[in-house]
Amino acid sequence: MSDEGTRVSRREFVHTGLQLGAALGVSGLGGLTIVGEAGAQTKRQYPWESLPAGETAPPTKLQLRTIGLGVSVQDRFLREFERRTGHKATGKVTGLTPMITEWLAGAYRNYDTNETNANRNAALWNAKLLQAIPVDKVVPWKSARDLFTSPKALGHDEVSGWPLVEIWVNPKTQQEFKLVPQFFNCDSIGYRYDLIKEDVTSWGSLVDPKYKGKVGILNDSLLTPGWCAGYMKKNNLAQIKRSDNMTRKEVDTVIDFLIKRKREGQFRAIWEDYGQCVNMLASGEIWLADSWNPVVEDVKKQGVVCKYAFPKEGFTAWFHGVAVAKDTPNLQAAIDYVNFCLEGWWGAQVAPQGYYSPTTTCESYLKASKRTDPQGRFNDYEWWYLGGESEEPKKGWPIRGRDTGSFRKRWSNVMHWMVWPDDADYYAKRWNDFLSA
Amino acid sequence: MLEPIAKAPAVEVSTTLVVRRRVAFLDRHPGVASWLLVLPGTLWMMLFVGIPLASIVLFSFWRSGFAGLVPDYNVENYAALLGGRTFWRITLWTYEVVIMALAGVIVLAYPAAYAIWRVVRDDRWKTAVLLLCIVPFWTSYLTRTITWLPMFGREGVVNRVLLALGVIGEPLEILLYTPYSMMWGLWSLYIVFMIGPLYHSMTKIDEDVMSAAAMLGATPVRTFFHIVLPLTRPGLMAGSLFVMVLGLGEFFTERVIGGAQNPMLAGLILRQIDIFQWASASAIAVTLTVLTLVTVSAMLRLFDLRKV
Repeated sequence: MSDEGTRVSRREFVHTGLQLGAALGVSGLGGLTIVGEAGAQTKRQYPWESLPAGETAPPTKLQLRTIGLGVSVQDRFLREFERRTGHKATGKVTGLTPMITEWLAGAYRNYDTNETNANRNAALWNAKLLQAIPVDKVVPWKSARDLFTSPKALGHDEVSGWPLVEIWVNPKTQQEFKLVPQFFNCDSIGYRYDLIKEDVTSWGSLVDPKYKGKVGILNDSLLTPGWCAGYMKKNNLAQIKRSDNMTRKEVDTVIDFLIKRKREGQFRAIWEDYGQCVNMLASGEIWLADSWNPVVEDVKKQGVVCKYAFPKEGFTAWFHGVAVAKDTPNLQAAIDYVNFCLEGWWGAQVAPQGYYSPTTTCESYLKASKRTDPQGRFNDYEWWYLGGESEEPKKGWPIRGRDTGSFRKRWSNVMHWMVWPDDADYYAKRWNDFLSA
Repeated sequence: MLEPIAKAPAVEVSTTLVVRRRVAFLDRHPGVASWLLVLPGTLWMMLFVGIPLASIVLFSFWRSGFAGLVPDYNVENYAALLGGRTFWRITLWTYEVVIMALAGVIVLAYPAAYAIWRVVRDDRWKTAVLLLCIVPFWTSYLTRTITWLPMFGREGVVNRVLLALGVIGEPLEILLYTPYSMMWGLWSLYIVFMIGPLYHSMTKIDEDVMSAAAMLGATPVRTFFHIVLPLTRPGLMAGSLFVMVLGLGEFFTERVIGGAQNPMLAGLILRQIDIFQWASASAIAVTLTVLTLVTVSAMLRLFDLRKV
């Protein structure tokens, strides 16, 4: 990075007379970097900062090789990163488990960053295949939401210590990241309002005989028993201490309950991937499902009246982050990527998928954009973070504003975080019993 | 210039002699030749099948940790698997599905193969019809399975046609995400593996035998059961082996059009991997391999494929 920066600056010195960069001979972090092609330089302090349209940073010798889900590893993001930083960027899209499996099998040598769900990241951290990132290297972190820095924040879980325990090497001192938060959200229930004709307000609807044969549930041995446990606990249907991390006896109670419902024909199908859930809801094969926010947004795009529920028992919360490979030869590119994801542009790009950004830097981008509200009354920040009009009781279609309302409303109603339970093996064993019942 | 030309035949002669000597050696020791011929294939199989398989067997005796496999030898994976009712229930279900799939494929493939053999007389048409059977297999297995979704869905082709004809008042939900839809999917996937061998067996039946049966007054049904069926046993067995082996490894159809409500053994492996239970997944994989080998051996005892 340093050599390249010096070389480029020297060349540009000849062409443009921008002596400062060359004289300092520094680049990247800590100095004033001058990037951009001859004749179109924009002064930026960091290479990951925004660059006016039409400008491209000169190529560096570094590259970024990342692996993650399709929701975060997208070509448009990587091209923008490349344009801003000059680092060649490549990404591999895969599933959550294959990503971890691949990494454990040695892929940490082939990738620089891993964009994963926080509940699985401990597998890589414990195997010492990641490296800690000092907090001062992540510049936009000064605009971090308090959810990721304070145990007193709305949405923080005192019992599990989430989300802080999975972010920091030491949650108290907060000096080094294990996993730098990238985007986060809450899961809930997606439902066909046009078919159900009423608002779904409880996880219990998924097991309500009223919707027998119309329900889809996710094939996940941890998440599905998780929401069911939360529902049973909050409605005093079972003695469950922690719905996110159950004892064997509690798992038995929940799975036996689900098996009973399955035998009664409650579930139409068990969905397994994003597109499948979108198709099932959009086609009306199922009327409601434990679902993800972007699924509902995608169903809506097909002109179908689909809503995202505000369950009285609370949402199930999660976050994804970027982890950096140990011994990566592209450490600076990896750090630039982390910064790029939190700079604001990236966070604004994923807002229409329903995701939140861990830093408030996306606000300026979203406030300048009015792409979501069909009537153009609300800017994208008002829509995605303040909830538009949906703070008012929603009646029918079209839904005005974001389902479930504002950021604050959603995060004041968290049932639990999706932690990796201590006895995940037992969850799996009993989940197989459910599937084969 | 002349010298190399003069020397060339000498070199050629010596090379030819060496080759001849080697050939003569191999003639005298035919066993060596056989070994040499199977060596590349054996090495290939050792490298890409033997070693991975051995690794899976090894892993099945390890323990799954959150951060990978731990070489802590135990038989717990097998004890938990074979000692639980769920595994046997899933195994039984897997065999039920595969046997139903096989039965359905046999019933559908026999008339199809017979028609191509006896009804379609023109060779060009025969080729065309056989090609029609094969064409869907030019696309991937996944695509062929997913294609049934728009066919059988609530708003799919079948439901729309039946609604338009007034046969039904409400879309049929039984068409998708049920064991029936899964079975239909499996039949469509496997039928070509039965039609091909059956047709091949049928073409080997002596035309005179068929004529003799007809002249002696045998009805087509009697001819089928007394001549065609016994003489096509090799094809039937070859096709059955294909369907059985493919069916036992089936996981996708069950997930996509079966509604994922009743996993089969191969699907169980995936579900274990999803939550990092590699050791237990390996134990299921080994058990499934053993079950497949036992099944195939039993089938081969019924009929020796070398007679084909």
